[in-house]
Amino acid sequence: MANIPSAVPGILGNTSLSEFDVVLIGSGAGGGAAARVLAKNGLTVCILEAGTNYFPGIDDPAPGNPKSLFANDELALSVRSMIQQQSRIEPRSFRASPEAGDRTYIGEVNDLPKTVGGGWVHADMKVPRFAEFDFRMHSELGDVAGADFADWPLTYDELESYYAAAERIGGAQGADGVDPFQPWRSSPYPMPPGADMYVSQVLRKGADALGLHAIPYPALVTSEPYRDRPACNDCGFCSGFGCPINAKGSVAHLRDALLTGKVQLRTECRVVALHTDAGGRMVRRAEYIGPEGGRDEVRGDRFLLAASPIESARLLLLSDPGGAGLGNSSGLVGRNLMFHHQTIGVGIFPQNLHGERGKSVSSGFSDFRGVPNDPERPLGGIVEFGTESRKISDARQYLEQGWTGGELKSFLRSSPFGAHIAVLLMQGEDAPQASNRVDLDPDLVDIDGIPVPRITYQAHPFELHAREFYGPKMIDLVGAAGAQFGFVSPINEGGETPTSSHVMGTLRMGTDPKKSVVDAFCRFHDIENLYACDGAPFPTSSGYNPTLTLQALAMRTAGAIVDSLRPEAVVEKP
Amino acid sequence: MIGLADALVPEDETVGAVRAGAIEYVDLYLAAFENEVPNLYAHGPFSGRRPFPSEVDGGPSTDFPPNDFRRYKPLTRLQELFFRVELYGSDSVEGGNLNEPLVPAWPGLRSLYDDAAVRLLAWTQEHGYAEFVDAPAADRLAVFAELPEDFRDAFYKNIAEGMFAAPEYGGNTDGLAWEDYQWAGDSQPLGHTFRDPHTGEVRDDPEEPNQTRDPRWPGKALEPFVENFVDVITSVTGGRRFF
Repeated sequence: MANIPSAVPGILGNTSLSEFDVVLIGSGAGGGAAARVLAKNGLTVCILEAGTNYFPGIDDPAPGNPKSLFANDELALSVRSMIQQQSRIEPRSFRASPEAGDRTYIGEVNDLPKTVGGGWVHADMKVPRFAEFDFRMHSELGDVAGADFADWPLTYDELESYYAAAERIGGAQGADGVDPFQPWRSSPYPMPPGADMYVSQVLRKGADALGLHAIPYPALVTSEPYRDRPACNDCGFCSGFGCPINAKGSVAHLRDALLTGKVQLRTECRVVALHTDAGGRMVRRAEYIGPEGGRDEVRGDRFLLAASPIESARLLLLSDPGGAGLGNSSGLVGRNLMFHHQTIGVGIFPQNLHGERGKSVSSGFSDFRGVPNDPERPLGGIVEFGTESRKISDARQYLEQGWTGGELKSFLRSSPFGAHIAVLLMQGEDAPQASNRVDLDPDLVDIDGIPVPRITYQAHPFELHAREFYGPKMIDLVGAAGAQFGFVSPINEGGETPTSSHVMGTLRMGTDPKKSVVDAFCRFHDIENLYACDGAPFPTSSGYNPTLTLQALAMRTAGAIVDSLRPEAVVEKP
Repeated sequence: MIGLADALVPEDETVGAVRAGAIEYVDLYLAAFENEVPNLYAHGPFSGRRPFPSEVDGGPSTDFPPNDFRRYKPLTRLQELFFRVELYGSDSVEGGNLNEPLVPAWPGLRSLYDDAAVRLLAWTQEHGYAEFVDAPAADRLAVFAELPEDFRDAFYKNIAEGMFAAPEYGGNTDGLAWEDYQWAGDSQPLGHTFRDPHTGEVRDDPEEPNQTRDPRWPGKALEPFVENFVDVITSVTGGRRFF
């Protein structure tokens, strides 16, 4: 009845659909969450995904699906970038500021995976919620020189039920009542915390010694069988890898959407333009390059951008050649690009910490997120207890440093920055700045001749201050945990590409069309049938991993679309 | 290439690059498109090195999955374009050189290796050796330092890959490098924690635990040369040495 599973190569879901209520660009965390709400409420959805599918059976309702083609394979995923774009044929460019010239670097700049499931496939699925004050940062801080802090046009309370739904659908593990910094919850975590990896237990001793509040890190990873998924067995290939046994909830929303029979997902389709009607107020069709390299298009009543903040902004700029960009009367499309400013505290320990086992991160603490306007506790971010899990990259760094012969062998055996390293990673809040932005590089194109994104980005004193404040405390912590050496990984301030995969901003959300791109339900002020449901609408970046918030927001946006198109529908209450 | 690999990562009490199969890995990589399905992305999800968990207590069963690493995933259009550029150069595909001269032409790995082989042969003959590997290691390293930077960068990368990638890619013979350098390798579908399907109790793999120090590979103090290096890094970055 639902015409699933698909038997057509390159297309998932219901292949008989030809007219769509909604066209969704991107099948990642936001796209999947939105598609689920839309399809479960009777709307037909076409998803255009730039990458391919490595989850066979994702649209097959039979138990035991989906399967996974991901493996404990560092070469394929990490070195040969199986689900990442390849910068040799899809480069990006970077500069710290316009004064630096057209660009200072060409290559990989914060690329996110392009695959069915998007960046949620390679993530290790850490899902803390934002704090209540994160939604009102301008009210808390006032005007900060050189920064563009803004309040969100919604509160934590308005989003809480969506958070709970995203945790339930994706399958979150976590401990209730142990983190004094977390906001209120309407329901407990669906699963208890899983095993706490060795390095985490070592670092926990240091945190305890400093009076910090170590917690099991919330994650959309099973700790017990859940919704036809097995419990995680701590294989160690988590961050940067797809899960071979589907313990991660990477495609949980997307599978639910596909099983409704209301969704058609076309893989290897790179959208290169949105075309509007003559008045420019309505998007009519999305033009894409298909699996064989030819051009095609799809029409719909509503269009949702879920391609990631950089790619969504790129698409709007590509859609208005020679102009300011689609939906850009505010001039803010592409601006206020944010990454988490990651401060990395390093401990080198005498023992083997075997980071190649476990969930990559199983514990951390929120103390360094701080308190607004408290000089004794500046706003930084949640801290993850991590280590290094990869062996090829460990060996490669010593070779590339120029060591040879017996000296190189000493490094390979000792593995100081592999087997012996413990990492404290602070996801520091990145102050929004209009000057940090995505635009199109004036000269560079990808292998299909499409202009590529240029990232202009420079850190603000706001996040650098947090780094200076908390860095020494990280060294204290690793020392208390038993490290032989402790230091903070240096940065080249203002001159290097940001490394965080937490990409936010570029399509700021707000109520004033002059100061924002999309409204409180992520609909474009300028275009009546266009929405954003990735991390692009975030006005501020918080100091917590962003994806659960992104999913909650996408579900809320999708609910608003259902309300507008099918007022008789009963939107599933989250 | 054997002479270079041996000079960079020689054999001693732990396996060197040559015996670990790094050169065989490079050979297979450079010839990837000579296979019906290029051997670039192993299929997965399991290698067959570890068994399924037991239905009795979640520990290792006697049921091993087939080795899915021995077959390969088909490439997407963009994946194939990338690897053709990577191996055969930016002129080998349509659109591969659109960004020249902003992005310099890429000659391709095969060309880089061919060019390096010619240079090594010439040097070997000039210095009267039967094979390049017959020359003293210090001389081989000096020759390596004079090779083009693009080649040296690729060789560093490929040697690391050839030593530590899954054995199905042609190197890391019998997983010897993983064992010698104390790294667990792939562990699915068993993993490192076992969950009793009846009681829900979770316990560590006793041989390769997740939550406790590894009894087999507890680790030992950094070798003195490495310890000195880390000491310098710590000092330069304003860190602290605790003992």
